[in-house]
Amino acid sequence: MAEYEAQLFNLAFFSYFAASCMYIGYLVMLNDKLALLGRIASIIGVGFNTLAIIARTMKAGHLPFANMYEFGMVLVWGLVIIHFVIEYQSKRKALGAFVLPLAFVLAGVFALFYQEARPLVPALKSNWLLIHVVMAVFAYGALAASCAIAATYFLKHRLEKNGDDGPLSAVLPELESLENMVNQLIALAMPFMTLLILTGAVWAEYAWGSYWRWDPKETWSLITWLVYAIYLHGRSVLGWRGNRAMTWAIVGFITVLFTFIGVNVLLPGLHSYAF
Amino acid sequence: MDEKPAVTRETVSQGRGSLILQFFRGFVSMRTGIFILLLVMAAAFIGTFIPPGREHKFLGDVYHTWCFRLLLGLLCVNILACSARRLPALWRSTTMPQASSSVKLDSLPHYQELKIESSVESVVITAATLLTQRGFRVQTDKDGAGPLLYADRGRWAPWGTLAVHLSILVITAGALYGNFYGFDRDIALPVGSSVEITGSQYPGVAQPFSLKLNTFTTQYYDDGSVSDWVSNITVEQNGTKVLSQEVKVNQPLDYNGIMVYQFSYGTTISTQVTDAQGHLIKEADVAERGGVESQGFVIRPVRFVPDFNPAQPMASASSELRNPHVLYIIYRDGREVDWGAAKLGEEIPLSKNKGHVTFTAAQPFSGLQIKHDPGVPVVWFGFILMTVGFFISLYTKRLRIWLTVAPGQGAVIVQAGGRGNRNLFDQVVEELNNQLVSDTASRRKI
Repeated sequence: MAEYEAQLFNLAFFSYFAASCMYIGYLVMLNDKLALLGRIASIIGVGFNTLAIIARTMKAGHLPFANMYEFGMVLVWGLVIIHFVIEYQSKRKALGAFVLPLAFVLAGVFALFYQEARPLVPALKSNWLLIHVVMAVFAYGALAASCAIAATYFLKHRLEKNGDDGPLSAVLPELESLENMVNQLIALAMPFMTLLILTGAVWAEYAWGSYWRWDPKETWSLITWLVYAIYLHGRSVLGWRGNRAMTWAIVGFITVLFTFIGVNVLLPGLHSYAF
Repeated sequence: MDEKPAVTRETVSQGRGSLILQFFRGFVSMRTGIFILLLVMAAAFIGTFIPPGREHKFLGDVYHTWCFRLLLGLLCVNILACSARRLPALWRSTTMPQASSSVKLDSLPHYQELKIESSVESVVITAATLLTQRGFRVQTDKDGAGPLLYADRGRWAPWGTLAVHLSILVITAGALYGNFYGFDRDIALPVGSSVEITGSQYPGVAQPFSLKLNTFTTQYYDDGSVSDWVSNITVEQNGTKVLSQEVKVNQPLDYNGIMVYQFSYGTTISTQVTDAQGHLIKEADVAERGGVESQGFVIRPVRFVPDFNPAQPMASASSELRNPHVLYIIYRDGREVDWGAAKLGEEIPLSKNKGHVTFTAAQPFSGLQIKHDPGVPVVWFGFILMTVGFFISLYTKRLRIWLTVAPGQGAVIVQAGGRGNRNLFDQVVEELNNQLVSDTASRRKI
């Protein structure tokens, strides 16, 4: 199985693509069968994704946390799992039309950064790697979902603004409940994002001799953290609701993506082996 | 008020005082705090786009400018002030009875009205029982001045928020303390040699000791990639061996809080320059890619190759010392005048009648970072405080409920106001309604 790790992830990618099409088809045609097919395709996708993670682990000889491709495949897996939880709890099939396309696009991006499995470089040979990356999967997975649901909010908002209360608007959750979901996901992610940065700092103290060096990765993780800190203050103290809060949630996830992908590509630093 | 206001300096200065007070109030507001956060974010953003090592003429290394430090300082003052200001209300809401406070229920964020055929007393008892069962702390009104019943849940959540804010101050304090009382130095230690760590060079070292590098090895995986860089280091104090340890990237040495990290590695090349008559005029140990200057020449040993093969001059055929060569470049007035590979001990002429340069020996060294940061335990404590605070703050459902029950025409009217978790409020009020309705129904049956 280990030889097929790349193919398995490609199959997951195509399954997520099929799931996205089904879910979007459901929004367009409002046919419940399509939503069911979307769910089945995403379950198949997670199955392939899980196999890909196992195969990669076997091939590399360590958990797939050592570079952007490896972490990316685990992140997408986490995002789709979070999607199942949200769909189960909210009983809203329409959200898949926003979360799965994001999972599909992310899977495609990470597949572009594919690199051969290699043994761990000296800096990564630490027990902190596991906890650091697990925190990242939780935090970034929940934030990716929050971004997709914020996008749902904007579609619903637009429909309502145009006075369209047709069947499409009816299958989308209420604006207030979308906002609450976004807020809950961010509140859920924030302690993990904090732990992500703090475990990274403790690890850096042991590996690089300093818990903070203003390395681009560190700085960008701080910027991301600040964006969400401002969101939390805005929502709880300044009474941000609606467009402003949701825009901020989307901006937050863009900074997450930049921290995770952009920094590796554009800003060389101590973290550059992750690329 | 019977005194006529005397227009004196006092009132004027009061006016000024209130202006300063107003400014101070404005500064310590949450909005100012958020504005400072935005500025920190913007500065951090700009800083990441200045390439390291080539700092901008005006901006420099953004994170160590006084401007950035001032921002962080202002942020800390703001956090401290905002936390202090919140504290009394926080204390009251945690400890003091809330039932008799005059709260306007219909102006609270959540509000519902129920109409129940029942008596005031039985509604209060039912509500108190239900809320207690749901994990609420319930207080009933004593003096009849306000709502009849107050209940709350998750009262520790705001303390978590406070802990997160204070943790930022703790971390900053730890970082400052470490900056003032710690040290951080990189040294290149050749294999076989020692370095003295004394209080005069390394502030805070009470008893001097020495670090000896016994061996330095690079370990490889089967596929040829690097698995680890390993320095075998012995600590000696007063001439006796205290401990021996392998230092690797993820395995620093800790000797009484003085940390030794594997930082880099390389080779130093002993370089001798002689004049035309053969007299030694310069001798230096030069790191790879370093340089030594003599008579207007700069001699740069670029790389040490232990097993030189002319067909592939850049790559060593093995790591054994079979054919040790040094790849070098010689510059004059900033221009390359000569480059090549020289065997150890071979004389290289420095243009006509200018003497020779000889690379006599090569020694591998380990680049070690020697660090002492007494602020680290404080910072770690701040990290724990922040993590615990965040989980308490964001994973606790907090809800405060106020209830009034008033007799109406043939029924009582229950007003429920709430602050906090919306879903929990709706759920609790619905349960209360169901309970009261079923109570009434069962009473009718009797």
